[in-house]
Amino acid sequence: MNFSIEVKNVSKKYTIGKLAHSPYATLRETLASRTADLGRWLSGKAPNGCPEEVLWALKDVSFSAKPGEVIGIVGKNGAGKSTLLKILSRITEPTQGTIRVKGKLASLLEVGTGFHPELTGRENIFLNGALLGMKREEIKRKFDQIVSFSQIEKFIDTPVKRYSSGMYVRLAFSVAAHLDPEILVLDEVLAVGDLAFQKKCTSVMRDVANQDRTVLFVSHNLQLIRSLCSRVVLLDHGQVIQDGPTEVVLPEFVKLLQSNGEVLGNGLRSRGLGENQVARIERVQFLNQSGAPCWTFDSRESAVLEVDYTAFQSFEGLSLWLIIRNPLSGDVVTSIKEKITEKIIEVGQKKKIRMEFPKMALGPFDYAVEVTLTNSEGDQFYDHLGKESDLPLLSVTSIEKDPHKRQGYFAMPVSIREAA
Amino acid sequence: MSTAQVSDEILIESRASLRQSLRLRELWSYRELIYFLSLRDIKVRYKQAVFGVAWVIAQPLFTVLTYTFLFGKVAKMASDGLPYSVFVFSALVPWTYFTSAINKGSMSLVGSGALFSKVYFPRLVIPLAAVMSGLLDYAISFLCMVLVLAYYGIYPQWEWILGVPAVTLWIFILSSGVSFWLGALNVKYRDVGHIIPFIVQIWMFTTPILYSISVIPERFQMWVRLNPMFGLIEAYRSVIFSRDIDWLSVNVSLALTLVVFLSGTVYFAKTERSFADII
Repeated sequence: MNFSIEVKNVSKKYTIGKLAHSPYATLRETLASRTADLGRWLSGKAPNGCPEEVLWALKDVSFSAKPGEVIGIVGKNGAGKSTLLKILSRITEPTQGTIRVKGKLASLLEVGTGFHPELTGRENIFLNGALLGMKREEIKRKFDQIVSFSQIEKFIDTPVKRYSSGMYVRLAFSVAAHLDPEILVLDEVLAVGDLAFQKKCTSVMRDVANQDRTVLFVSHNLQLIRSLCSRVVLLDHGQVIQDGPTEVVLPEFVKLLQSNGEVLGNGLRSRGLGENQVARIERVQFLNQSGAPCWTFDSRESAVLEVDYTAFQSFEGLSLWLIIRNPLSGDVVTSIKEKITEKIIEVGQKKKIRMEFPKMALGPFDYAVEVTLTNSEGDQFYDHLGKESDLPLLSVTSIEKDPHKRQGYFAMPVSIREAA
Repeated sequence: MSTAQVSDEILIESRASLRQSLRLRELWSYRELIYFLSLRDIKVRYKQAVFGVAWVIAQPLFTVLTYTFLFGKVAKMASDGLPYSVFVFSALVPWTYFTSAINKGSMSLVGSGALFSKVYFPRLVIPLAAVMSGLLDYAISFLCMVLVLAYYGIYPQWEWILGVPAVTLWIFILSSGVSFWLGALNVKYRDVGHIIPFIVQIWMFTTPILYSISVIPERFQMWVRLNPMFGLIEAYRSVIFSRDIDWLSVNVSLALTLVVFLSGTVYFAKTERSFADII
């Protein structure tokens, strides 16, 4: 088979416990434990050492990648994504299993590795390029391209410690973008830089894939994975749970994230009471057509939002204000503010508000949800769940494969026909 | 852009054999990185120092002045019939390079932890670059020595053209070997970092740098010769002062150097795979 990476039964074991306290042994500890071992050996006793605590960061992981494939690797925190990338990049070795890599592999686990603040942009380009495995001739040849891509021509002979963080990242990514590898391994590096630069990075990744090269890409940005990757490998607890086309695996991942959704919602209850707080939102939960808790919807599905609250003071009149935002830019996508009641709510009462949406008429994206309870005029806040809350993102998907068929935040109801 | 590059297939697995861990051909392909890293070291060192190179000249000169006063004038050490300052300078130049190389080389690995966990390259590059970055200081203090020697009427000889680079290469190999050992040990046992200054000090006093071997009683001389730096310093002085080379001492020290270098390389190759996990 024609593969560029073949991962076969790879496992990685970490010993934690004692090691977790001191990452490096001291000579004295080693000598002491060696002496103790010798003593036990001489007296013929079995070692009584406490069993080492072992963590399998990866367990029997297998998959292969073909040239031209862009594969997204997703999983919750601690699922083993970074360990897998580290093994692929040869930073650490697998405990078991083998990986065969065909072609030049470049990995970018961090932007600007080895950059020295005292050195100028020019000097750092050469140093960083050499670290990433480029030859001096190659760097010289691509130097102008790198500089113009990074848009910092004017500051190329300034020490990078004087750069803004945006300039720093742009320069660092530009070096990496000119590596020309056959296999590119990326870890969340695109989470940096402004939107315009992110777009540039994304287009570099697309170019790499179009040239029949392989891209492996770890990210939490589902939108990016949706738009870039043809295939997704889902990891959980160090194992491959699913491996397949993006539109099949990504909803599985979202479900996996949501299995924690209830837990997250419960966390709301432990929030402290602010001064003069009138009420507390206890639970925010979307429900799907069959009434099951859910944070992922298709654009055409109906949905229900339930908000539970407890009154800490008695108050008269209540409005609910729901804001749906783009979590990256903070832009308001849409908001709904409605009067719920004019009646008096007594101290200690627990109430539930139910909003029904005939259609989740949003474009495919992950949205941040904000919920606020106010008085009926809307000028006094009773409780507010803003961006620092731990609510899951509302993820809207579309079965459409063509992302341009419905772009943007809204899925407007439409009927189209040829009229003449 | 889309031309297929011919490159070998890489196999990543757990227990690689020694030959696989060494990957000498790969190290060779990363030689430019050694150059860039040592260049970085040098640039960073001088960029913020106001007097820059002046320090490199002042340091050995003042050291030689101090030693000449203390041991030459006050203690009146034997110096093989040479002016004492010339005698000490000729040994301090290689010795200073050696100690700065093993200091930097041994500490370089721990200092590069951030690199190890983020990017792959043959790890031997790091101590080699550190050892190499001392060469500029060495060259400057060598030129100082040439001037001081000229003041005493000792001028550069034709033999230097072959002899000086040869002994310099020797120091490079020996300090690389020591750095491989101490650097790799230091990653695992941070105590080593505290021991290094102590090792350097003891090593300096057991090597005939401030004194001539002739002041050592005959029955101890054998032990003094069992030191890779002994033959090296002797060879250096023999080249500089155009004396006959004591081949026995040189050969003993050369053999010890090879033992240190090869065993250091093997130990390094065996432990480097765990660097990223424990650093």
